Amino acid sequence: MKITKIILIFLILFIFISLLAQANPFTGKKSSAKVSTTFQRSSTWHTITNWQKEMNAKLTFLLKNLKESFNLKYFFILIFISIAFGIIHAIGPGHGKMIVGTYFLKEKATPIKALKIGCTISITHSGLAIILGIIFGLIVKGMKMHGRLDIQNYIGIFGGGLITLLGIYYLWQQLTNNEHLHKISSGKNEILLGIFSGMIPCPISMTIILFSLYFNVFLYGLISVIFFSVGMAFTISLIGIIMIKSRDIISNITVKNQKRVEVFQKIFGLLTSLIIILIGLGLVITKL
Amino acid sequence: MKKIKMITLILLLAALLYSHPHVWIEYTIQPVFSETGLEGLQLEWTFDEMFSWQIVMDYTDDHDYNISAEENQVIAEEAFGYLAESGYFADFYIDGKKKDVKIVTDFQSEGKDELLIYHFFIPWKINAKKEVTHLKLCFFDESIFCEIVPKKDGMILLQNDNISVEYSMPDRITYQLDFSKGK
Repeated sequence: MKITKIILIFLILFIFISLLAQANPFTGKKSSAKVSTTFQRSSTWHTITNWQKEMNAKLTFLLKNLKESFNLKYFFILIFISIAFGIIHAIGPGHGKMIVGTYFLKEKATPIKALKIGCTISITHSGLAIILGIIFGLIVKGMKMHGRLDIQNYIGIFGGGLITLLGIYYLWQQLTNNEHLHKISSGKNEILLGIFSGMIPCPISMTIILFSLYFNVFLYGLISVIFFSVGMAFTISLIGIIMIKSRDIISNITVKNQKRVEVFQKIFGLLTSLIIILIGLGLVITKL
Repeated sequence: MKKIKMITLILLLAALLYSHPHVWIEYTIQPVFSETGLEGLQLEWTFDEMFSWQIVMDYTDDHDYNISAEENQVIAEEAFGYLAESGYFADFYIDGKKKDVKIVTDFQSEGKDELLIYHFFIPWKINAKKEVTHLKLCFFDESIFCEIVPKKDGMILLQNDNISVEYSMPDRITYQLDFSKGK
């Protein structure tokens, strides 16, 4: 029971932090969630955000310089920094990590599945940003920043709604104990979960695309966003793998008592489905 | 059991190391003093290059960093005005009591070295000798969309003969103004 309590505390904390990341002050919508400044005052916070700031500045510099002339050294640095930026950026809340973590507590899975979801989230997250970046950069040129952020917001609301529905579906699966249905849908579930979770277009990727379009270095911008996604996929998958390993360890501890294993699986299945519903609702509410 | 504790700790750390800003702002604060205390705070925010570029592209006619009075007005209304909802990210305290920032004046945007800088004034009249001893000043975005940190030497303190105040920095983002030392 103690283990379950620890994991429950972790999940609640993760939900709380994940939801905080969804608000955006530039859309004029005041965040309903509040976070203590204590986090922001910590030196770890500063170190990590400072790295991101440096990487963001470095990317800007490299994209501008590559415009002047191709330089192989700059090109490789661009790739390296994009990956590192993606890894560090995805440590932050959002990016579907909470959903991935929760899903793998519910589901017995292999690290390959975690990789599959991590890649799906990352591809959707950056893919949408690339599409929107191209639309805003080439087609709907007159749209201003707050308009773009509003559209990102609406897509996020839609994604949150879909996650809620998926959570309800998981809950229904758990309550009806429909093993046949579960086996059929398991593979599709992961892909769908990945797509829904990544449905908020990445603002950084979109800015890089817009920036590269404006400075006529679209190809370099696109390469940067692709490698940025590789970095994000790495972090998200890693969280999934850690959760799979955690679940395996907990299962092994309780395996001596078959009845306890069944109770444990049932409770986790129900709990994680409810949490996925809450995350979906949270995404919708914080963005409305 | 040790393994579980370790994994839980790693996961908690992963949750706590949440670094998710998309905009970076560096700020300076200059307290403006009157004969009896504080008149307000003169602020300067410098944005990162990509965000600066977005604002300049979206809200200026000629898309350059020479911002005209008309363009400044557009930026004030359409880009800066939104931040009123977030209290301009001000996390200010007067003797431990939170101060809400609703009004700012004298907004001026400026482009310098391809970075966008906002200058503005937060009126905050305080009779330091009578009613206040201690101010805490910090900027903080609750939504974590912006990371706001002081510039190196981010506090500019120009005192007059009547007001004496000391400032300190207890952590890396908060300034403290202590009027009691000057009484």
